Amino acid sequence: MKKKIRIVVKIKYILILLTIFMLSFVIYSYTKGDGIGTIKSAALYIVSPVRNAYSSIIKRREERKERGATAQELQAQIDALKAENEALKLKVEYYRADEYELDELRTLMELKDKYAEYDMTGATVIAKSSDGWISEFTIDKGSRDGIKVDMNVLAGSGLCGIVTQVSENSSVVSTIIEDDMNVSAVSSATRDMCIVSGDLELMSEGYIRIMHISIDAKMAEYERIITSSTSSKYLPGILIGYACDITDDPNGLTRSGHLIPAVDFAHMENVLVITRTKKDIYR
Amino acid sequence: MILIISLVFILLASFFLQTGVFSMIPYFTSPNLLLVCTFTVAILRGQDTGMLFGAATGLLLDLTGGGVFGFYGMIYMYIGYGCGLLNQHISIDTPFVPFFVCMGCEVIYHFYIFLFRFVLRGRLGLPVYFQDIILPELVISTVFALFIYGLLHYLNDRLEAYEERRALIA
Repeated sequence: MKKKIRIVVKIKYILILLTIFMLSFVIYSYTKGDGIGTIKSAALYIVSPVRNAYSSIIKRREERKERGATAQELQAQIDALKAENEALKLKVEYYRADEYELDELRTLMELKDKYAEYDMTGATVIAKSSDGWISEFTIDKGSRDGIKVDMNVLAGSGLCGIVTQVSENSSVVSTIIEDDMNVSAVSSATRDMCIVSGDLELMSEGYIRIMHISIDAKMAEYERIITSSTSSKYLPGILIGYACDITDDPNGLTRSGHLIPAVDFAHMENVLVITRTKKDIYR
Repeated sequence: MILIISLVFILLASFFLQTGVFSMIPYFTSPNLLLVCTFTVAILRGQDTGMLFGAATGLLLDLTGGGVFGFYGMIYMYIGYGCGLLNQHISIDTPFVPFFVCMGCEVIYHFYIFLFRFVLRGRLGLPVYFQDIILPELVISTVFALFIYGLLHYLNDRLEAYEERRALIA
């Protein structure tokens, strides 16, 4: 008579085995960085369509709401937009005059290609991180649309984060408010170097930390802080936010303070990805 | 077989709800549904199921996030294993089980993240983190835990009745 062979393994041993397995993964991915990037991007590829579904439902509902508006409301909207359009046209005329001057000055300073306009592509946020400790989000564009790791991501007018993981149809973006993110930056008028560093403790007050400002920097309160050209991943000239509460550090050599980010991180639905990395441009 | 299919379904459903739906609502703290499901499954079905469910949950989070691989896998696995111990020692009908277990698991989970992601880098602002991150999530997760525990308890009863019937036929 054949006896069924049953292997009985104590649960404790499976636990130890799995622990060793995971620990080795932790060590491997910590030392290698993107050692398992392909498995991760495959997983992202699989889960993205479902995540996409929810954001497209919301979008469709908004569209329907707009379509359901009455003629009167639409007329009012058109009038408002017309007025705005006139105002914007006037502004463009002003700017056009400035642009010639700017171009001339730039050619004089040989800065032309450095501040060339960046090509951008729009993307929708389809998922956010699972808990409050991390501030990552997933967008609905991936390598199929030309997204690569280390591309800068903007929201509205300011820098919002950087692409850290790419799959074919979606990618993960780490925001600059994340606790371990550092961006080298510069003040736009006085050109004082500094480091913008995410800090979870300050985030509740709506700030990020700004530090390593030289003690004799002439940075004014609420001055615009933009990305610096010394950064290895961030393209130069992107607005990060406005500096405030700058005080001297106890060491007497540097100053530090707070930075009001230009991006509203709580309401991010659509973002812009700059489709060239710093490496592409400065190769 | 039915157990495995339903577990996979529960895992995926709570994953999509947590990362794709609840976390997208501004100014709303997303309940940690994956944690709630992990300890509920562990209490209802025992140590081995709980442990494997936890490991699968954690690895799914690791795979779709940008952090170190295996970080979440570890804590979810141990929470599944630890809560599975309760299965042998208390009745699953004991009142307030989800309430207290949820609070305990949330505290352990957040302390783990705080320890390995923040203390090691010299960031020690626990009071602020507690007020801004841990407390809101703990409260909302506990509320959700009461409902999810009830729902999964009911499903588990149905499944056990079905298994008994099948055993009788066979």
